[in-house]
Amino acid sequence: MRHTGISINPFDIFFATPKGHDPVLLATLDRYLDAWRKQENSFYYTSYHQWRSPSEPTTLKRIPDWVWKALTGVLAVTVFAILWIVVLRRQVRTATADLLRREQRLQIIVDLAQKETESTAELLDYALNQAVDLTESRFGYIYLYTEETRLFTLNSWSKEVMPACSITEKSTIYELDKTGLWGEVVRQRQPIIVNDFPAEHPLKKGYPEGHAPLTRFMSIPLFSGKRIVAVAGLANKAAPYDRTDILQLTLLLEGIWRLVERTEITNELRRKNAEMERFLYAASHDLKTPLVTIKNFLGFLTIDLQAGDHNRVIESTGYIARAADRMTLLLDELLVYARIGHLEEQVDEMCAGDLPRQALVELQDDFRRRNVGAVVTNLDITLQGNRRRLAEIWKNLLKNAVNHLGNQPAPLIEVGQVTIEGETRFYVRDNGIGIDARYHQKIFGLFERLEANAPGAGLGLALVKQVVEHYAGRIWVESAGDGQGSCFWFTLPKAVVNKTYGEKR
Amino acid sequence: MNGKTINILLVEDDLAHAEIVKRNFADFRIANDLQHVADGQAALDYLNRQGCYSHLEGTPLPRLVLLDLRIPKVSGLEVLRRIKEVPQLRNIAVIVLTTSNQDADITRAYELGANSYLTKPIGFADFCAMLKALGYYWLTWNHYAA
Repeated sequence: MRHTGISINPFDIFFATPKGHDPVLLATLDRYLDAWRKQENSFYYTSYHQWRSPSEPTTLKRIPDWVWKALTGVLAVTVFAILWIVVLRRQVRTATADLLRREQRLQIIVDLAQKETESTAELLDYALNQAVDLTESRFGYIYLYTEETRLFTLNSWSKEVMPACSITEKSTIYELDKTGLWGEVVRQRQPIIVNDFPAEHPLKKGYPEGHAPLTRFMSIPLFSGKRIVAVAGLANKAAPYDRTDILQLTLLLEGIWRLVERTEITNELRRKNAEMERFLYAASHDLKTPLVTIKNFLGFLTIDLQAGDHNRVIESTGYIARAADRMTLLLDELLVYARIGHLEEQVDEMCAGDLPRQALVELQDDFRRRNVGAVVTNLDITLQGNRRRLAEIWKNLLKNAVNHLGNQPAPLIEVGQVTIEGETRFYVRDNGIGIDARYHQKIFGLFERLEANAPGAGLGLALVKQVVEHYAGRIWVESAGDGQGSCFWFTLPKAVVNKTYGEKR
Repeated sequence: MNGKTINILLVEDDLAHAEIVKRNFADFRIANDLQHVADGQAALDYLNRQGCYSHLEGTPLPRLVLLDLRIPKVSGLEVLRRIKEVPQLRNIAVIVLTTSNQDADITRAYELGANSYLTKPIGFADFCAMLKALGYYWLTWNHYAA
């Protein structure tokens, strides 16, 4: 108090009376005051000295310490309680959102499991659109990835990407080594997030003109065991992407992928069963045919011998011999056909041109006999797959071509490749008898022959088709009809590596 | 017995099997009436008097067709279907004569209007007996629409 500007002396007491009144009373009061000032045990004395003494100015306690402690305690508890409630509420909110998302995800997978779909692409397409919604992104993509060929194959773009994107011919196959940022998930084998896409990024290669502009981007690799089987990307969420989005997308896609694998196995099984049935049906008919011939002509032979009809004996033995030959041919071709489906999935790397060249060596007798010209042009792309299986394609197509030359005076068979819309197509072209348009599908069936006495068992083209389909390809024939020659076309997406053989990747 | 000769069309891609049928029918002394074609398209051309059979336009159609099912170009069942959907051909008796004894084939053949379904026996005696019975029934006793 003594440090304040206003000095207060609370214990100096003075009495006053109106001028000239009661001098006696005033004197008496002053006397008492004087006496209190001197009397050490008076309240006045003690109070006066306590306040005036400089040595102990604050011995008088205004608020006790325990009040302060209690107050501080209460305040701390209150603050703590408020903080705790806030944190708890946040946790509850996050947990609720998480549960909701989990439920949504489960619902999606349950919906999908009940959906009777036969196409993997459709399942993934659905999953992508759900993932876009789930993470509140604007668009996304799923590419299937093959580790052996290091190729991405487009499965789906979400529906929103198209209006924003003016690329009309979007590439459906990409090589890993030519991808920019989005290929990074495969190279690093982990998810990536880029929340400031327009900024400079060392891995970015830029997207093509007309691509939908990106602001934020995230991508994950999808594993099946240790192999990356697909990559999925999402883009342009309003808020930054974080670990939750990665978790969402990963969990959703892993769930879907299990379904995809199951669907593929079911489809494969169905296909194999149908094929087995067709095979058994055809085989039983075609194997029985020579047997009927052999047994019946043996019967005729007995009668002819008894009758001594020499000419008929020779005729009958001829039928028997041809039937036995046919049976041998059928069994041989059947064995090749049955075996080719069960070859191990070893991966050889080879130059496509080597396969027809090897087949030409094997078939050289047939080629020489008919004096056939053979040209292998520009067939230098790299193939990856089982060499024995792939070789059957050219071997059977060349055999087929040489067997159907008719009476062409200058027979010529050409083998080559062309690239159309990023797809490598192979061809085997001849100038032989040609095929009527009505039979362009039928010829690829099991034991199908267009001529009753055509050489071969009718398994060659069926075998080629089986191998082509094994590598996810298609096969078709172009022919203007009788006498116009034929051109067999086929693709091998799962075997083609987009580089010239011998060239460094 | 109606005493008339009956034209038969044999649709069979296997030449040996065709020979078996011809030899057995020769004993009926009616082999002259048997025409053999080796694939489904030829059968349709013959019956419709078109393609390389157009010169037969106006000649009598066969009364009986012996039809194999697994034949080149156009399958036996398809030939059967096309015979039975054409009014001029519908009355021809079609006898399926094949190695297949699959229920699906038998059912389908009758659905399409086959008049009989026979499977080729493997044994000589059985095949001869069957062809003889077939001959007696269809060539001797059966009456055909005019």
